[in-house]
Amino acid sequence: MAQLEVTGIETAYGMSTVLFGLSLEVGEGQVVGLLGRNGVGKTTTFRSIMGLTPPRTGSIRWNGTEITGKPPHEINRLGIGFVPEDRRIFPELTVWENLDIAMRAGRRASTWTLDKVYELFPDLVGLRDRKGGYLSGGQQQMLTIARSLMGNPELLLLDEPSEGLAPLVVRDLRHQIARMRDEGLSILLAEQNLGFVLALSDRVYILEKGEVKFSGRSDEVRDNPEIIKRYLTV
Amino acid sequence: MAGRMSSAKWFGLCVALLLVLLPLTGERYFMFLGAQILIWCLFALSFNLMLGYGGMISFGHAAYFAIGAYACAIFLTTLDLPLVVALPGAVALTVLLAAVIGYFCVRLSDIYFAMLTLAFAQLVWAVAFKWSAVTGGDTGFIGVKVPEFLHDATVFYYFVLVVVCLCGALIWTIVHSAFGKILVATRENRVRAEFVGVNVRRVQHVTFVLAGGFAGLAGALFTLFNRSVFVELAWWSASAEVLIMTVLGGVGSFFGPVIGAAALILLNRGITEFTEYWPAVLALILLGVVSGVSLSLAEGQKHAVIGPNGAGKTTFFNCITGHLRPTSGTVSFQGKALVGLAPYSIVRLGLARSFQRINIYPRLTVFENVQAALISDRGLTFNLFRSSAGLFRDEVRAVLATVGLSEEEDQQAGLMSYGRQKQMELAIALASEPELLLLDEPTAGMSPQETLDTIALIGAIAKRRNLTLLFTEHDMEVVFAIADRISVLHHGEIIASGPPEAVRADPEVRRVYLGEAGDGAT
Amino acid sequence: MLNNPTILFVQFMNGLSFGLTLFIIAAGLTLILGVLRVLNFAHGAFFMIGGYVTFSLVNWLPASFPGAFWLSVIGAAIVLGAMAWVIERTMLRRLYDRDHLPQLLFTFALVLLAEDLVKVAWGTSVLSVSFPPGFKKAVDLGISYYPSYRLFLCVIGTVIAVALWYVVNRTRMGRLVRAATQDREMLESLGINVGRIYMMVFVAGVALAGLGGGLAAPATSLTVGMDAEIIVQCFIIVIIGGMGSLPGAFLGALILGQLNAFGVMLVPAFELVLIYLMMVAVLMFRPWGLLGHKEVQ
Repeated sequence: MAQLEVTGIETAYGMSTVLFGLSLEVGEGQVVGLLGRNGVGKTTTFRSIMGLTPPRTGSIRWNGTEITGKPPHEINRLGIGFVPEDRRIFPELTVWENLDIAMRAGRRASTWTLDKVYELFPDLVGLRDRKGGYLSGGQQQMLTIARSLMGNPELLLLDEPSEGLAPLVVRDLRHQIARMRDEGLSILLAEQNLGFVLALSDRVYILEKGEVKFSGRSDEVRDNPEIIKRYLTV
Repeated sequence: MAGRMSSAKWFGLCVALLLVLLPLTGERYFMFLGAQILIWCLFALSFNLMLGYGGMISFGHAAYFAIGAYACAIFLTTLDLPLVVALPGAVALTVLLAAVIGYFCVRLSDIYFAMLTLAFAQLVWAVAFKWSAVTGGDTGFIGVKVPEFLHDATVFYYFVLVVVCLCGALIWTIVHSAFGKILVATRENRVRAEFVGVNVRRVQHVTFVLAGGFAGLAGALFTLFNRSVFVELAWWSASAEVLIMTVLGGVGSFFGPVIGAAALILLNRGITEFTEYWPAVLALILLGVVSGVSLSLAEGQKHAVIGPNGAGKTTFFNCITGHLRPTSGTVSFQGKALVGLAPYSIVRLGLARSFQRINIYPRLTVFENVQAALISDRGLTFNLFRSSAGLFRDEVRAVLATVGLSEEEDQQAGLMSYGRQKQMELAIALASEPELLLLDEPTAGMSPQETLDTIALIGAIAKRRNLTLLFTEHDMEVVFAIADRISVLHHGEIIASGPPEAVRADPEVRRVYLGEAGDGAT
Repeated sequence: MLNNPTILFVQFMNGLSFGLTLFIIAAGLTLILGVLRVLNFAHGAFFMIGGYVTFSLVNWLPASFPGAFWLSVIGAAIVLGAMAWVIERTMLRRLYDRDHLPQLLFTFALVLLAEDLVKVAWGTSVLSVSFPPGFKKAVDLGISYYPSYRLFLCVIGTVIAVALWYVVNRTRMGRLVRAATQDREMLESLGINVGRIYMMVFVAGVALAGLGGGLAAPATSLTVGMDAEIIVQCFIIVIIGGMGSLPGAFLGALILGQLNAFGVMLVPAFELVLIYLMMVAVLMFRPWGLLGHKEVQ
């Protein structure tokens, strides 16, 4: 049984349907990539799983329990953390305050503590008393991920973490995500940066117009220029 | 439907007959009650011009009622002017003050607008309260010299009836005029209205002044009715009262406020016979309305807003159309600089745009959506008297036919499928006959079939009208099907520009789409 | 008058105690506005009921009971908090996602109900609460004597301001409240039950109004309709300081208090006009208030 099973969800914002029967699975400890051009429904998939925009039909099961229709805070407490694409740190709170409000012991023996998070993101230590709104884009991205880790999730939904970051920062980020994976965290990673995803993930799904168009191992995508051309590049 | 229409007409006829024949009862009490109700009906109607048609929540409308009331009292008594001067004079003074106050209020929106109207109203109250020499202050202005001929209850009743009916007819004309249509459009979707060339602030200012003027007249009539004016008329709870009346009757229809005012006054009279706790009864009615009936104004205004990520495409669009102001650089159209111009002035130069997220007037019909754009384009925005019914019918139909929506003209726009709404957006943009059309992701959120139809449609229209198109799109099929020239934006900069095939082969473009080359090597 | 330091000092103190008492009430209003985004016209009504409940409790407790007045004031805050809890759970929570109009009508309904409730329960005659023992006299402040209870109001207002500042800025609960004003959805995604935070803020805000009503009772007289005036003054404070800002409310309260005290002295006929002009001016030139933040769209 997969840890997260999404089956045939349809999600809409008002009249506009974005997901047309999307299904995917994430196994325990896996890193799964979610690929596709802008606007294919990656963010909406995450919002559906988190309960922020509940799907109209379909089911989302977490460790075998149905979680569709539950409010976001309950879904988070069950062990799913969300790192949104637009970062959404609390700009008027300091870095430490941002981390503190998210702190919660997980169901497993607690793995992420403030010290451990600071160790993974050492840049944040020196910034702990600075307000979130005054951080650079890269620092904000670190903070958002760190903040989600403070809740000790078992699965992390990462939405476009490398978006808009300088190459060096992206490289650091890749190592940090790898460390999180090594700690036993499952990760669902939405990205436009193909190299970034292929380097980290075990499996990938490629979306187009709200549907899964391809699913398979990462190396199948890497070795298949036809797929890349059709779904990912111009 | 036809049966209901005619029963409504019957009902209206009966009410009219009742109003005209009321004095035959010979009961002074009925005539006073009737006059009182009529005055408050006018007050509520004036308020609804702002709330119901303009979507502006004012917390200080009673101020204009009070200004009219005091002005009428002072003109008649202190200055000893005849009624034919005093009444128009009171209205003129109210209009003047409403114009000044409104000028500042319409610069703000939502809660800030409401708070500023409240602040000004309290200011009016404070002046009336403290300027005892002129207003009588705390004790009120007592002993208004009402002209002899109005002392007779029947004459007074008919006088009020005629004035209120004339004003009612005038307000009816205004809300059904070209101006009225545009006013509703600004309520439904302020941004959209700006992008068909409407100066929203000015429309709201005119509405503010009109509403103030009619409220002032209601206040002046009240002075004649009551023969004294009290400072409480301007206090905030009086403004709350007219808001309650209007909302209870229904802001959605023209006669709603009239019914609300009449029902509330009658109910008040009826219930106070039995209990002194009328406010509690009213409170229970309000709670019922809030929890049960859904207010028409409350519907459909909250949408989850999520931001699809961007390299700055939408921002770029917003800079061109004046929604955002670039920090540096220039934007010009046919040699004319656009930076710093308001959206409505840019539209008037021949630019039109559609939006990525649906941006229409959801509760207007398809016909009215397009008509609003035409009214604005032809400069009829401030025409208060020309009826909008049938205005530009042929032009609207021609535009609708272009986008294939002829069958849907009477549909409520917000209830159509997403693809249809997008088509209608296109119609709105085309209505002003632009030379340059900006389309922000014309196929976002459409089903595959709708996407194909839309591509064909846009291609055909562009060719036929010789339009310049500037559009953003994620769907590569759409891009390559329509574009002659493609520019790729990344991190806010154009990294490649040229014919489709050249762009496709550009190594920089490939790198952006597939990620940093160095990263992929692992 | 202006060169008489005693009068100036007394006026200053009057403004201070008036402003700081108002702060206690306005703090609740601005908290509710900042977090729940509800413009609570009934806040003055809660203040009024707080005063009346204090009156009843004081008379119900035996006169010899030690600290009867203080217990009554705390009791009033608790009663109002409980009322707020019921109102929030049964009705208000359904209105958060609606727009301003239903929320307004709802709070108007509360105003009307509260006034009738007071009429039924306490009648329409003017009531008063006597000063608590130990605060009946004036104390010598060097420049002049000043009523000790009014002095106490200055102290308690400041204490509450500091306490609120501490809770909001230095406790986890306060951090959650501040986060809730910034991004409700994100906070939910981090596992926080934001609905409960809203409830607690409303209860605390209304309890503050009740507390203010109880504390102000000896310094004023209780009448039906006292709520209508208080709510306007609280709105002015909140507007001047910035909607949702606690430091703003503190500053706004101090300004309003002094404007009121010296306005009466300098332009005796038009001190009210002066106050509303201030409100208009702030809204015209800095709608988000002196210490508020401009909302980015």
